Amino acid sequence: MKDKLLIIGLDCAEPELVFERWADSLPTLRGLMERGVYGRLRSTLPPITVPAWTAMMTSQDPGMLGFYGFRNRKSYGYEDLYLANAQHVKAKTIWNHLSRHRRRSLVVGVPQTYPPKPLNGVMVADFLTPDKSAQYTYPPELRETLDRAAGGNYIIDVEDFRTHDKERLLDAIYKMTRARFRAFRHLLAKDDFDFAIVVEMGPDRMHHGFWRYFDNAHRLYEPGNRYEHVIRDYYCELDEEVSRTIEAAGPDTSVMVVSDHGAKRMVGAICINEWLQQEGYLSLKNKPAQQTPMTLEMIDWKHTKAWGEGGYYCRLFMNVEGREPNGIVPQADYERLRDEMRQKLEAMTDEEGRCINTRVFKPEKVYRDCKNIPPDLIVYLGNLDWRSAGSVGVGSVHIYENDTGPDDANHTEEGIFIWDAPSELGVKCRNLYSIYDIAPTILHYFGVEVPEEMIGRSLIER
Amino acid sequence: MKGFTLWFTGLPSSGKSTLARKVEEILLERGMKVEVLDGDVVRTNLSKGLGYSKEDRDANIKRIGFVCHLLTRNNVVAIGAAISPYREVRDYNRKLIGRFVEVYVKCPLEVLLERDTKGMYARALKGEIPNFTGVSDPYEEPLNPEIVVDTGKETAEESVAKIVRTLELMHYIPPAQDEKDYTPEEEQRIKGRLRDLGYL
Amino acid sequence: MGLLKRGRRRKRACVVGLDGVPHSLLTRLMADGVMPATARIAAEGTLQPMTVTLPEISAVSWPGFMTGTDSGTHGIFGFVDLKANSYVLTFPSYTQLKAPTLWDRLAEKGKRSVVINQPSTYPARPMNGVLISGFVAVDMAKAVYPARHLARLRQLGYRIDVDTQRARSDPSFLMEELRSTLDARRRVVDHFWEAEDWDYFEVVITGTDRLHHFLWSALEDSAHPFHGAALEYYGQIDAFLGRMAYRFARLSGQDGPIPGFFLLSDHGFTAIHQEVYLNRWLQEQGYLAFSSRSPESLEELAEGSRAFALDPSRIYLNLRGKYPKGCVSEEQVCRLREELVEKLQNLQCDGLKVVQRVFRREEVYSGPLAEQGPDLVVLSQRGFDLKGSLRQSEVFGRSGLEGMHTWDDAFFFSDEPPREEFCITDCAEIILRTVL
Repeated sequence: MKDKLLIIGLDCAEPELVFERWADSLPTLRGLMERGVYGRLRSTLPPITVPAWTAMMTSQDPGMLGFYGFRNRKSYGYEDLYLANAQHVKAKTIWNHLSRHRRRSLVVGVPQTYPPKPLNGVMVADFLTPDKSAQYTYPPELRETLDRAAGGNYIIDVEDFRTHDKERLLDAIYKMTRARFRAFRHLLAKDDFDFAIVVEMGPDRMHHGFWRYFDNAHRLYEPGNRYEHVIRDYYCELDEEVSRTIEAAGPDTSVMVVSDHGAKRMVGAICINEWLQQEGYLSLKNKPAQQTPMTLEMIDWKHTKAWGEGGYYCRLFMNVEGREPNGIVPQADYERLRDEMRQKLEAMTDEEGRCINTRVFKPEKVYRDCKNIPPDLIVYLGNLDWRSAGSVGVGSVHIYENDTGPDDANHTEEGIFIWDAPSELGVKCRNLYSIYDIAPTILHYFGVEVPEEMIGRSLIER
Repeated sequence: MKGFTLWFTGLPSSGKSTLARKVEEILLERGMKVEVLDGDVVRTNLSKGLGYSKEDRDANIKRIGFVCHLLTRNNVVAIGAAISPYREVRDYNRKLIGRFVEVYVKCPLEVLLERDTKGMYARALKGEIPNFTGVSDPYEEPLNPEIVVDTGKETAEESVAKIVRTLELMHYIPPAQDEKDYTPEEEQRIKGRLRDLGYL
Repeated sequence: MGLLKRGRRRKRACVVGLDGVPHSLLTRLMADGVMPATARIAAEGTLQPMTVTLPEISAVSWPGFMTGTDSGTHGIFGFVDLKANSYVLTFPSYTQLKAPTLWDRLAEKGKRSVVINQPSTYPARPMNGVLISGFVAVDMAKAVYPARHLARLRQLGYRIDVDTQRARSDPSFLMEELRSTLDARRRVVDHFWEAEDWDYFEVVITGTDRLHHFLWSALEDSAHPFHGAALEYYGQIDAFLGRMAYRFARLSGQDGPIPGFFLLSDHGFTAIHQEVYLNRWLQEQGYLAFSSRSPESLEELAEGSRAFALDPSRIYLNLRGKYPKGCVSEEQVCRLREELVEKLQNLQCDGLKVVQRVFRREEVYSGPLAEQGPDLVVLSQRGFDLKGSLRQSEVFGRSGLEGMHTWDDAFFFSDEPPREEFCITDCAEIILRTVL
């Protein structure tokens, strides 16, 4: 069995593209698949970068972690949502456990690692870093040499990926990807690590920015457009980076390639707060004349039972008496109202009256715990074919341009899992793996006892 | 970060090894280099063949101290855990090493006799184990330890937290990451209080 | 009761803090016969005025006392602060205190401490002895170290603080709350005095600060309906102090000046003439703007703003690189600072000078964390209460509060000879010397 383990994380890499459509154009990934095991990787509920990566690294579900997306409610008050970064991650990650057992780790770009906490090893924090003047490396001094290691300029994230300037976006994504992998390989070579992981955000940015150009079923697709092949070309670029990185890691390294969720075309956006007003659950103090983001100040709480947040998935919050400051839904009515809303949501249609198959979840039913403030309902609009838009004053429930900038793709519940696991480990080849099994597998691989709180199980059978 | 030696001393089965291990884990997780020299373990290798006479005990403790000294000067955190019943030798190590933090793992003898986790006190009282510290051999309490933990009263977690916190305050280890230690509800209530008093 | 080493008395110290009690008020009450026990104590040592920290609020003052350093070393600059590189408010807790406290340093030498109701120690952290956090503590379970004392505290009916929300508008309720909180405090002090082995004992009374915030005029004005009640409260405080001094003296077994007995306050108090809303002033002077008409937080600061204020009297320059919407460059700092200093010093209200002095950061803070502090701290003239409120439409105004803090009118009692220029950060050394 090889001494070391490398994980290459490709945020949002889509299984259909990697395993089927473009398999022949991705020789490195194909090689790993043939030598070992591969399959789809069932993500978290919801399948969003935050909390999916942290769930993967800790084998805890979002309810146990206490955050349900990027932005979460701080309290039952009517305040702004806060951004869940490393300070809110209380659970122990793979590298925390490995550090306790004297194993050295290299951790680059894993979401929710800003601000960085000490470990036995080296860390470069993720895109939640406000900017490069922040302290985003461990050890702190690394920040100074990181640019050089990246070949000139380490790029934490592309600015504003919801933009119409596609040339700039494409250029930025490539630069970012190349810089990150180069820096990662440099760090890998400089020191002796047992475990190394890099998460590249590029594929996610590519999908959101360019899906309409290649998916001929997308509403905005135009045949023969100049960006038709950019996503495929980018995947080939990634394959090349994976190849170089495996080489840099050395022959004694086992390699996993994973993604936190997949991607598919977005049909449109549901203006959930318009829908809530229509159904009589939400009331605004003044009806806005034109499309505008909804702030909580605009809500007439005395006549509001629920409000929603925008995002790839929809979160609904209820205005409960005795819980929210100006709550009106009596506690005794809470469940009934939730069920009523659920039924209506499940019956939601598109503009032509066709049911879009919305799925609705109650947090206490899908998580083992519900720390902090979970949404009252978790909603996959059109089973994630549609995203949620928070804006009001739109005039309709269905819109086709996202209210926060052009965004063509939404997430799917399954990402990729590829591992060149040696056969003596007895790892089974399955169609579907669980994101929660990754951390137990890694610890088991290094001979570290899998802690009880991890909800997944190691894939290693022998 | 500069190395130092953390020295646990106390009666048999007072909790020295347990606390040493738990502190080791925490320091490892924070990315520090740590080694533990546990008296029981050292007696199977470095100090194999040494007995429990005063001379032998002193030799054992000096050997552990010497290794701690080497580790400390190479910027490793050396954790020694041994009964080390004689003050003179403990102080000898302190002088040798310099950056030396003594943790007195205090526990009343009555509690130790009752707990008797390894069954050794019972045997010692019967006379089956000669030279048993606390029963048939002396223990000289530290006069000025940097840290005292009372394992008769505190839980292991309380003791460990006290030790780690003291090391932070004495600037031997960097403080833990700033955490948001107020829950959202607490913050709301604190805001309310501050507002009532005109502070916000 | 304590180990008496042959021939040498065990060295101990006992400190009683009275939050927000001015030296001038204390001396007046002693002279008026309202606090006879305190007068007897004062006669046996030195009771002197003391300056405190800047800003002159408990959140900064108590850490100054506890650590013997200023904010530049211990890291607490106010009740609120800003998260690094942002305009997001945080509430620094005890965990953010970066310098060792009195009891931490005593613990290093194996000494045990009992500390009751010390403000700015929430949530309680491990230490050698017993710690019960005071203001801003909200959850008793997190305010006690070690946690096993919680049951006893509940049994004794311990109260952390008065219900400030109701008390602020209901004077009878306030007086009742003050009484029951003091009683509970007394019961707990009695318990731990006997039950615990200690070298350092400390208790802080915070009721005085509450009385002064809400009913300062009751103390000043003999015609006030609650004047009698306020004096009676001070009578109870007097009895409490007398008892503490008496039993400490018994421990030490001597008469005369008791080395090791200390009394202090963390700031003084005076009547509010006007509140002064610094952020409004900055807006009117063109240094600050917001993107909405009634901003909820500093995050709504508009581009181009050059300075903003945090409660109560701290001014920060909106530096490029330090804050997301920062626009003041390094070269502009000096001139901008001096410009603000001059304008503030010339600020008047009805012909009265509002500002006593404006301090620059380096004049107030030294230490590795000084850079985290404000660029300027404003010390107002008596009667002008500076505030950082964001939603005021005028620079001057009033709220329901009656009393404001003062910087130079706190007090300190010990058996040391009097000193000129005594500051609250000098206390720690003196106290440590008594015990070590």
